[in-house]
Amino acid sequence: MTGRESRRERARAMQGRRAGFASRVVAAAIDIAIVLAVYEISLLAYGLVRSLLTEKAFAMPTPSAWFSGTILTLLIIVGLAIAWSGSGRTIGSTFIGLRVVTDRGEPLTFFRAAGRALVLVVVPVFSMGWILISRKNAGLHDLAAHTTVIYDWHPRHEPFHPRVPPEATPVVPDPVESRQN
Amino acid sequence: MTVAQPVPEPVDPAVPGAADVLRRGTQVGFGAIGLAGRAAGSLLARVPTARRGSVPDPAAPPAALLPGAVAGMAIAVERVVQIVVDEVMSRGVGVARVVTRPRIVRWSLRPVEDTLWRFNEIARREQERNQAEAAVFMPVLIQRVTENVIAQIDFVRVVQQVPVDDIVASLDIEGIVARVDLVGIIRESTASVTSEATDALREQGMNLDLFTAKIVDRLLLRKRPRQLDVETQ
Repeated sequence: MTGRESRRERARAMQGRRAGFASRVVAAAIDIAIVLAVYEISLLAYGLVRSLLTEKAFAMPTPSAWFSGTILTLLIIVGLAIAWSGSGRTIGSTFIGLRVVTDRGEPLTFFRAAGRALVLVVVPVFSMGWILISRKNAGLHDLAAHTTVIYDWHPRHEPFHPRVPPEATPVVPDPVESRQN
Repeated sequence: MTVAQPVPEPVDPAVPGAADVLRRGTQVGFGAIGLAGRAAGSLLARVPTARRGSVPDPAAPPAALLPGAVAGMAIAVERVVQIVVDEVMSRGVGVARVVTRPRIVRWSLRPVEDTLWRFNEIARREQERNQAEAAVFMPVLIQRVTENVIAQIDFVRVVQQVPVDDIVASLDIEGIVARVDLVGIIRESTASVTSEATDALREQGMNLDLFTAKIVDRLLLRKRPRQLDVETQ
């Protein structure tokens, strides 16, 4: 077996298992960068529209810290809740190949996703840091919402199939193979 | 009997004179003729024999038959001459054999025979050297001639005279593009490259996950592995 095949085999074996600290931090960092970019673009668009509709020259808006903090918090909570309750993955999670499901492998409801996002936004560092300590790779937001994050490279949005013994493996397309071929 | 041996002459590094140019040119010319003859013989040996039985068009005017008639007449003459020469040679050999049988005749013809052998040997050796020189000279000559010809060609003018618009107008480019799924090809190739890079990044993330978990578990003196499987219902 070549190195590439062994890596694919290991990646295939990891599908559906709980994801660890590094992958989840990278996915969260991508999501935060996207939210910040959306916020900055919104400010830029507001400044452009203001300069076009009024006599003022263009200038980048400089909102107060509490305004920016509130808007960013709302953006993150609403965005995460919509993404987690929909496909179970944000843009960052899609890129890294992660999916958020309940402890029983089911999709999240909107309110459960919103509660999970609220806990994560309120205590982000402590919540993410708990993944390092937890035996189940669970952050505080996972413990609060009874959720978990799994590796799922499957490109399409399909119902999650929890891991079952090999002799009863359901017929589902292999996410690693389907991506490689 | 003395055998003629061509003595190699030292090459004068100075500027060659007219005699040298003439001598060298003659040698190369003979060599080139020899190579050309060999190449022609090789080429003719590969030409397949034409099929017989092609019948001329009966409606053709008599003037159109003239070239064929001349060629046919020449072939007939050549065959007659060949038959006559063969006959003369066969009879001449017999006569020569009878004539040269006496010892005195053979003795008197010996110098002539030696002379013929000597010239034949000179010709053979010189021709070998000429052909070798021609084989060296011809590629250089062809290269120089080709370069000079290319340098003389005004490619811009030649290209401008090519009727590109007419050629393009005669092509059904829209039909060709419609048959080629360019979008699909670009999408598939781009998706393949992106997928490879993404999967590599994901694998690195997996490895880092396992590594960090192992480090923390050792720091916490844990002996049991982490529970990474999601419980089924």
